[in-house]
Amino acid sequence: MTPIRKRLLIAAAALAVATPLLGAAAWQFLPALRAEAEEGLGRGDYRLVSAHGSVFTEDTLEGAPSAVFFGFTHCPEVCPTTLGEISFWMEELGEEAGDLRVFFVTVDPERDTPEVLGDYVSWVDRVTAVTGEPAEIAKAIKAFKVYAAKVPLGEGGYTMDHSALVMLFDAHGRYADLIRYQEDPATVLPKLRKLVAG
Amino acid sequence: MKTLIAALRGPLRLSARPLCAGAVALLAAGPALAHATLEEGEAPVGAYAKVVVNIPHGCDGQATHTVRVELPEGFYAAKPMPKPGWELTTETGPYAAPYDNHGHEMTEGVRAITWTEGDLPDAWFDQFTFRGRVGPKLSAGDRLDFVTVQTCADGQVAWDGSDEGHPAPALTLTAAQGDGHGHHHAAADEVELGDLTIRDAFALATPPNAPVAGGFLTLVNEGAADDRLIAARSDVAGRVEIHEMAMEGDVMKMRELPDGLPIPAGETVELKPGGYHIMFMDLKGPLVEGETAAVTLVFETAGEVEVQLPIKARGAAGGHGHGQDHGMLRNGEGGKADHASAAEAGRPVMTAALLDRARDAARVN
Repeated sequence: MTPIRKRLLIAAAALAVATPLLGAAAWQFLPALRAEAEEGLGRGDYRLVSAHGSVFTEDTLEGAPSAVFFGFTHCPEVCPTTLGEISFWMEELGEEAGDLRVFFVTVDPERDTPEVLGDYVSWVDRVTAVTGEPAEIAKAIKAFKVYAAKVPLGEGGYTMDHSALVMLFDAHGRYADLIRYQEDPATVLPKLRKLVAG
Repeated sequence: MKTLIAALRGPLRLSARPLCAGAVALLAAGPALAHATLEEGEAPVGAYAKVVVNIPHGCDGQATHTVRVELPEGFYAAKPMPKPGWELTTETGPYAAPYDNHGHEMTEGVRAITWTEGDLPDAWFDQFTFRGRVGPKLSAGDRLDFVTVQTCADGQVAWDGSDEGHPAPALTLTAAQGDGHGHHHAAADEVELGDLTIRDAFALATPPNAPVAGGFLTLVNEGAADDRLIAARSDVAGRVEIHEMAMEGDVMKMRELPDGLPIPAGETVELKPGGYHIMFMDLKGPLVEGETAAVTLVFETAGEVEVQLPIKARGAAGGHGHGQDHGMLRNGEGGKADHASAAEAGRPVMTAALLDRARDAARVN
């Protein structure tokens, strides 16, 4: 191998290693950015209702740790799958889940009434369905910085693009961590244990 | 010399007709050289076969300008391969008995292929290619003769088995593979339609009140032509569409594919969680774990076929190796590597996702 070729190879290898690290470094060394994005996550003057009839506001997040997911019933894959995964996490945690609560907030309040949504989540332990007036849901979407947008389908129907994340909040209602769609239980369970332990 | 042959060629070409041995002997009496043969002399019963006819020499020293191959009974759904420098024509006709091509009756098709206007000098060698399917009712050991005639300026050579020196290029059949349709890895839960194989189909059990559900499967196109999944319908749903889902950052976006889903020749397309899916809308009832949902898939070329989707437990999306068996999850098997790399890449992506969401949230109102 010629020296030049060798040098090129080393440079290429270094670049290959460095590229993901740069992203990680941006995360590590720009705490201000991160803090700004997370600051006040979940805080807002939204006023929603749970399927049990109780009120859901920013204050609801205080008092016990919470996991919050935004979804909707006309959701072919992500929502049933995420509910299935939540069910599995709760099974795995058992008593370790402590006082952890899970809120499934609809991004489609026009179709997801408290009754419909309550039944939808009823099969998963600890999950509370949350819906509300469209204007209030819009406030919540903004407060949690999730993404949700109506996408028209044929024949007047529509579906929703939406963030497929489970956000974790500590017992003080502060954003703690997030769980990505189909994240490995090997990383999810420690996050949940840490959250519950406070 | 070339121009002379070209000038003489026209009227003589008309004599390239179904052959009897006698019509041919003119130039064939020369020394027995290599025969016209098939490059691959065997094919399984029921399989698609690519047939390549070797033309090893001309007609007693003269260049070959036309090659005609007759397709025997038992070889159907044939398609010739065009050849640069040669004009291609086919003759169609009825089959002695119709072939059942996965519910579609084929009563006629290409029976002879002719390449004309070429110029293959005696000193050169060339190959003429086509493809077709071996009848599923034939038996291992049977022989299919592809009578081949090459025409030159002043005569012809017929490889038609009329004498020992002129055997027809032949395909000897071998035992059917797999399910007898010549497809590899055939299994009970696979469905075949023409060149397409549909496997690993499933749907997810729906939560209560869910008006929609996703169906998933793998499509394999073993053919030489592209196809397209253009529609689907099912008795379990008022409406069925073909959708694409894509994660953009942490946002799941779903789109109908108005032109359907392309299934390119020779490729495998997976409909799986996080990607393409069949969307059942206006469900007439819940999808219950352990039952099956039937869906009819409509392809642009291959036609229609009904597929049974076993209904799996909720949350058993297969995309990352999450099986129905939670023990699998516990052991971290299946998709472990995927997750490891996703976890590594996770943090920086998360930064971007959070910022995106902040931006998006400002937009959504």
